[in-house]
Amino acid sequence: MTRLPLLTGLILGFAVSAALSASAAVAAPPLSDGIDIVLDQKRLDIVVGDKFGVRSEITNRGTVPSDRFVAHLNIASLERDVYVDPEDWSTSRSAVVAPLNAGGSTSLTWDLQSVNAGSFDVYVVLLPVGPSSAGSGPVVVSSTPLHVTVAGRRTLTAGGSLPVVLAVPAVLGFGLAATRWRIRRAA
Amino acid sequence: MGPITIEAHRLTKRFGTRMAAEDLSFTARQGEVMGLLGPNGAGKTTTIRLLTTVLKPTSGQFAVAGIGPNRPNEIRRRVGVLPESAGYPQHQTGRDFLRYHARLFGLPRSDAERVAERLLVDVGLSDRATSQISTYSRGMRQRLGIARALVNDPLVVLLDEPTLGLDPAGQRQVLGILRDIAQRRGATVVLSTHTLPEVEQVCTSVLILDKGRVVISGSVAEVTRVVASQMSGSLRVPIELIGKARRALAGVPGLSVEVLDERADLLRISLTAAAHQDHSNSGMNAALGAVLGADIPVLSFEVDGVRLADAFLAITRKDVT
Amino acid sequence: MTRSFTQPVTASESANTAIDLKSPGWRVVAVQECRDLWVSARGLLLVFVYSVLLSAITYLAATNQILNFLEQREAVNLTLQVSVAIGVLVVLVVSADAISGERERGTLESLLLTPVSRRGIAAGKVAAAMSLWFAAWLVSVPYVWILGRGVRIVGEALLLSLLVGTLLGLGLSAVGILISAASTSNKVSLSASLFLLLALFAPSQLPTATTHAGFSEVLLRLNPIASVLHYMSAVLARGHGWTADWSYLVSALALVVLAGGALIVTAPRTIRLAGGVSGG
Repeated sequence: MTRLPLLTGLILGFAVSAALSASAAVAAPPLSDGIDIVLDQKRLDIVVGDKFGVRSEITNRGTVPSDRFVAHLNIASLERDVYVDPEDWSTSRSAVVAPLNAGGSTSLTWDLQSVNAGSFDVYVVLLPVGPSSAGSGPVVVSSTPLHVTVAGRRTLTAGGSLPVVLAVPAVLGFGLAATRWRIRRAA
Repeated sequence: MGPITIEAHRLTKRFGTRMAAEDLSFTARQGEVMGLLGPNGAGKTTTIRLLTTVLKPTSGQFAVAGIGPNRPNEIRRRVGVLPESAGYPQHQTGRDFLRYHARLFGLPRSDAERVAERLLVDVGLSDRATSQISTYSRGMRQRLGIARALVNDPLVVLLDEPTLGLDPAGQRQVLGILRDIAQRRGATVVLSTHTLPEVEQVCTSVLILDKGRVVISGSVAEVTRVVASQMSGSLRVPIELIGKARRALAGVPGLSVEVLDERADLLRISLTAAAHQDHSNSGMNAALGAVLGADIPVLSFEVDGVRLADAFLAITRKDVT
Repeated sequence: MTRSFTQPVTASESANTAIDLKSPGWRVVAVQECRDLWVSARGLLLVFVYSVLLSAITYLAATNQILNFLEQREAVNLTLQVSVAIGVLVVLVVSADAISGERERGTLESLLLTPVSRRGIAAGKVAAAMSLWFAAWLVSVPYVWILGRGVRIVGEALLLSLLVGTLLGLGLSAVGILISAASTSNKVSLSASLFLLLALFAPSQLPTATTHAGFSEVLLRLNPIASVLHYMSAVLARGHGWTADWSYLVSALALVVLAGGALIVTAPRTIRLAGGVSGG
């Protein structure tokens, strides 16, 4: 159903890793110096299907105004066999952040819904989109991710569905038979 | 006769290149039973469909109960129709069918119920009111169709072949209903049929169509009189006296006589053209007189052209069923 | 035996004087058509077959042992997509029979001989056909409830399917009656309607990546069925808000407006005794 968003997520994931390793070797562009992102929660234990929100605070701790950014929310599965498609968790995962003056800050709220059981990290990255900095890669990630543990819940079972699966056609079939019998009798 | 209820003036209907009705002009009055006659394809059904606004005329004018074709819904409120080969919803009961149609004519539920019950009694179907129509015989369906045509207490009732496919008893029943509609309800009845004797029985006037045109119209007597020629006849005498009868007829001037091969006791008598010119019945009278004068018993004597069927045949020159 | 007409219908019973203004002709037609549909068991038979299909889908979904939250939402989505698809199919088939079928059964002329307007007849028939959709929707309620338990989707899913199914049903019913009125036989009408429906369903079976690519996206948005099903998936399976993808409903709305408008405009000329697009 959502192959394209999945592909985007994966590419973005690789890009983030690449950027992280690159940041160790190359100095960040000056316009993003001193920008940090803090999430309002560090840990969350929920059940599959639960909705939750996370707020990210973006602050310019530098001395010069920041560039324009796109903030992007991502979810990574920490378990090898658990598949995650961020698109399924949140319908709106990108937001534009206007340039921040020195010392300025802004916050973004992200709405999510857990769709898989497992262990996940939710984090936000900033990508510069200014005329000169666009395409230079993600430069800032949230200092600590939100670690979400989602417990499984199974409400749909074969046994549980049987009453409806059998009863509805049975009731309609009975009605049909009765109607046909009435018609034959009237004829 | 009452006021005019149907008036058609040069009514024409064309389907592509085919002319189904052409320049039809006629009137019918309240209480009149008009027989609409004509061979297959003469335009009888088209005429009924034009008058009932099911079809739109290509040209010409008409009014039903004083209402023109620009108010079709108002015309339909005032006419009752039994269409040719009318279909019936098989799963409905006769009562449901009539009640539904009464409701379609705007009757409130309770009135529709009453009208349906009464009409079922009128057409002799009250004991089958709750049976499905699928179980009705053809005659019962025709009677139900007539009842349906009456749910709105129409001023004009048009019936297209109401006795088609019915046995003689069924035909009698339907014709009785028609008479009642005209006499007791005072409605104008237009009866389209192939069956000429029933027109003679119930109709007060006749409109004969052929190839979409009005060939002749008037009372049954008028139409018969116009066409009746009395040019020929059949005389039946005892077979052993057939020779003697021929000799007696040979003495009558202006007659030609022949014996039919298949009927040895029957003499076909025809007036010669000269004898027919004087438009009198003297030739036939003389023939009969000559036979009787020869002391020959006449078993039957029938002059052609005095019945509606003869007129119809003479006009349309086609076979009728 | 018949009885003489000794008692003509009284003035109060006459259609000329006692018109029931509370029951317009279209409603009388609609009520009777519904009665015919349901009392004759035709409607019940269709709904019974439909329920068997939903039961099969629901049971298969429930026996899927790896079903997680997302698949459960998708199961609801799938069931409702089937519900809407079959529901509107049935509406279209019944509508396609509405005029041409009556013509062939010889019952149309009697209807045309009543004072009910052609538009009224069409409206009554649309209403009766829609009763099948509402019945189909009602039957889907327990299935959606059993599939959607625990993922807080049941109410939203049912409301959504009711709205989009009604929208599609109205549009396709109008299309079906237009086809039926213009067809020379009932067989032609049913064939044309089913072909149309198949053509409209085909794009919804294409792979997702294909449908998002350029021209295909335009086709998807133009196709009322495919775009409505896409919209349902967006809301039910992917959790989008109702307004996020509303533009996918435009073609269905346009179908209702255009087909409904065409029916209103052409009904006086096309709902007639003889089928075909011309003649009289």
